[in-house]
Amino acid sequence: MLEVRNLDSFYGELQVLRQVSLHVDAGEVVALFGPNGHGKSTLLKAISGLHPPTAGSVKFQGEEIAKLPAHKIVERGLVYIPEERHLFPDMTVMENLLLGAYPPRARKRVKSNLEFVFHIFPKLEMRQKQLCSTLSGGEARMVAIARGLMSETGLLLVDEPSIGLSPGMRKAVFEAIAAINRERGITILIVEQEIENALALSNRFYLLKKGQIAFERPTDQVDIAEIEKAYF
Amino acid sequence: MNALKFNWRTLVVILGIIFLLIYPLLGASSYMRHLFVLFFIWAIVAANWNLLMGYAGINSLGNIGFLAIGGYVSGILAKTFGLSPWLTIPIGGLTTCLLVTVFLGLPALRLSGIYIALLTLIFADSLPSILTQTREITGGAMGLHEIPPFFPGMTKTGAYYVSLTFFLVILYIVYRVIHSSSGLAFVALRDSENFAYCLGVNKFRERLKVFAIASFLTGIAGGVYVHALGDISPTTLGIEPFLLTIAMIELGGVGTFAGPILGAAVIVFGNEFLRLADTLRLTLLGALICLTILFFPGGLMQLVDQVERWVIRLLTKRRDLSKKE
Repeated sequence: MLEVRNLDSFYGELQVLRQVSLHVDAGEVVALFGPNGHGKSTLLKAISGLHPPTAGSVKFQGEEIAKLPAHKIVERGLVYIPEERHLFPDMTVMENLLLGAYPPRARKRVKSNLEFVFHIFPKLEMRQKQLCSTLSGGEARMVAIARGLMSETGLLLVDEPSIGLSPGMRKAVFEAIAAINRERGITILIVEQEIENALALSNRFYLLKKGQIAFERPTDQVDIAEIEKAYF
Repeated sequence: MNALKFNWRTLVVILGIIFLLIYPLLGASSYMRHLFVLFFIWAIVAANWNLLMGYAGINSLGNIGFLAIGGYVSGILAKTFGLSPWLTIPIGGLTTCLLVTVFLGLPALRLSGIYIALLTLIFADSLPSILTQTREITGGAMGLHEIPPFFPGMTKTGAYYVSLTFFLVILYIVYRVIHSSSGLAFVALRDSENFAYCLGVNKFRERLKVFAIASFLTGIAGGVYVHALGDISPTTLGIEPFLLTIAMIELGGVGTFAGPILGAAVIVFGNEFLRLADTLRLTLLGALICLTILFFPGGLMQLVDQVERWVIRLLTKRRDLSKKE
């Protein structure tokens, strides 16, 4: 479904990604680990077209998307949910969700997508008329993920969904992500620091260090010591 | 609670429309009907300006220019070439839309903040000198006079109802735009451009769209202006109408639908009644605006919201008390 090959990315003079290659197959949940500041978010931004790569190829459903502007990539069903919970504070929960359905393809399916979103996050249904500036951290996270789902998604890139949340809320968010994959078959690439939780819901994982893929493993062959070593 | 809120606002809108529809039949003076026509026109201008400035976050300062282009095009076509105003008003709107989208909309894609303000200000400020250079057609500094009305033998009441129709239709369009997915996209681009891209918002299309809509509708208001009032001159592009329109938006509440309309009402009627105060008129208006910005930075709409909250709290408290008893 997603095929990234030899990706290079720069911030000015600084090379952040070096020859990164990875693939995500349809229906999979793939985790991406790695220490802070080693290029995980940059990789997601490069894939989603927000910070276009300098070299390399990104293929989504067999088509090259590395040169496309961000909104065209979203239209194809590849949706990036950033780490910062960028909700639009003056909009209600509902308006934020409807904004997620901006791509023409998604507009036609607003109703069924809304139903699914409220099924995954029942709490949002009660809060749909509330302004987003009044939500708690966990609720805001839910809106951010839900809004991504409204775009008629095939592949969801989720950047540290559990950051800054209470343990209970974290569990809820991870459960929601597992449900999104299980019930709709949406493919997920997730960046996380909560390694154990993320391992529990993913099929494979990559470890990104100093802008390069250090190694890749199926989740059932995980060696926590190996991951810890990479971090320190 | 939400139902209460909803009903309350819908009721005010319905009563307002009914009032406007029957007002001339209640024996309103010719002077008052004239003031209402002015209110309709300036409310359209302010609402569209707010669409650009409040919702899309584009600091345009040239919207009076849009009004003037629409007005002059429609006025000249009707007066010099004898076309029907019903034809020339849409032509004026389309011309405005085309000029503004090409000369302001396209460059504005690459400009931000203060630079858009400068560009649009220059656009509007260049118009008076263009008008004096083309004296044969536009009448120069004297302006255009005796522009044909909407229909021959139009009375003040006729002008009132035609302008009212434009006012209702155009404001309804603005309302629909604000609540469409484009309206949400405007706000998203205003609040966080990068994040709007994440959601698939097409900046190019939405930015041009907001310029096109605002300029087309303001151009139409220009047409209504000339055919309802009968003349237009470069003084329309002067500093006073410009500042007063900005004041309508600020006073009413930037980025709210009802704000600029309320603001237009306060400024148009206030400005006329303050003529009693003679030279103090602008000073008093200025003081009103200063006070609003100091105490209600969200404008009159903030005041309305606040009062609404007080009333609802009062009502629910009373209801709770009666339950306890």
